[in-house]
Amino acid sequence: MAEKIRLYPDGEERRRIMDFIMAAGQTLLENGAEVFRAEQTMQIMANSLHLREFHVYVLTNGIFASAGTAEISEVRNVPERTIHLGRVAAVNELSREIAAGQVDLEQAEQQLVAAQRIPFPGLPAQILSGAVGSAAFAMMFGGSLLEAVAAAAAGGTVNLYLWLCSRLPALFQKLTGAALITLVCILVCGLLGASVNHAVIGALMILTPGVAFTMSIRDFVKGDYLSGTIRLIDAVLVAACLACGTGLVLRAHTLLTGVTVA
Amino acid sequence: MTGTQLFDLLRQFLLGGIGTLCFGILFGIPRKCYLACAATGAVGWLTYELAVMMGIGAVTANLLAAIPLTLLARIFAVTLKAPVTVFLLCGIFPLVPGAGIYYTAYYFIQNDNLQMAASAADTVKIAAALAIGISVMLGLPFPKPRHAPPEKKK
Repeated sequence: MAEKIRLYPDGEERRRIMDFIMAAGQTLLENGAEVFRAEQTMQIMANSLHLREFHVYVLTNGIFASAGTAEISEVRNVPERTIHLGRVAAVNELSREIAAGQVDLEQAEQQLVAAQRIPFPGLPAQILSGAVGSAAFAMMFGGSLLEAVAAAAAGGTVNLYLWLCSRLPALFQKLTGAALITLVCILVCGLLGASVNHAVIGALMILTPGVAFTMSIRDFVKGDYLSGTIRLIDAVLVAACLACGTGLVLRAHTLLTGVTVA
Repeated sequence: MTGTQLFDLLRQFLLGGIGTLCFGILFGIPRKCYLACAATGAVGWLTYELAVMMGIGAVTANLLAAIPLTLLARIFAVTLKAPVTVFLLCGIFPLVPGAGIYYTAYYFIQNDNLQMAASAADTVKIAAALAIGISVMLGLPFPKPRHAPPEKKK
């Protein structure tokens, strides 16, 4: 009989398992995993931990789940999402270990907290990769070496800026970040005598919601219409903010100097 | 294919790899996945450039590029034991219409409706082509990695 209690946990332990699964799902969603992946992983964890009658519904910004005959039900709101694929990979690894029966609940909880605390790369790494990535994209879009240098300067600057004001609202960050990129590009391109267009779009790749947009269409293809819509509106809003940011600086530049750059 | 074209493709391959890797680092991918991510992105971008060079339109080129990209991402996911998302999100970065969606919004605020409609249509078509290519290749049956089935405790 004692074996059976372990197979089908009850009471307090069920609630603890539920909390753990919700936290795992939230970690996945907050760090850029797809909706169906979060759903699938939570389902697998529930099966492995023998949580009966586990049902979950995941949206881009929320998780609804119940277990048993709905005697436990939980809702999580996930308003803020970034992309940290290392954490997604860690939670995935954890779910595999749980499914293989290698860890018990106690260890799993510890590992989940460790996964949530995997840091972002340090500031120098962020500035460097932003600069090199922007330069590479400026050249991929057909820019010359000089334009790549301008894009690198703007990409590095904007990553420093994003790091400095990570507390500000996301859309405000995007708007001011885009304005900053355009400003730096105009200044550096003016010094080097290069054209601004390729440099600006190369550095803007850091902020553009291309991945979000494509993932939203993927949600539609999967049949998650609501999640797809949320992501789509998110992507369109971000793009509008970027356009306002660059548009403002370009217009101001035209007014001040009388030269149209783009 | 001429030497210049070959050189150009090689250059694009390297640039695609570098760009993907840099954004992968910003996305916080695990260290063991760095090379695999760069390879995924570079192969996707190379396929796209090759298709465009052969005179294929941008939308079809994106659809074509999504195929080897997703396959490679799945292979890396099995061999490196990481979720497909890690390689997929980074790998499609050179292809996604980030520039297109930005230009759409830019023409919108500039009141240039013709240009806006054109770039909006392109953006949606490219994103749809990518999404369909990825979904089809992810849905394809794949030989499962050999590992012991989850043991039930008795």
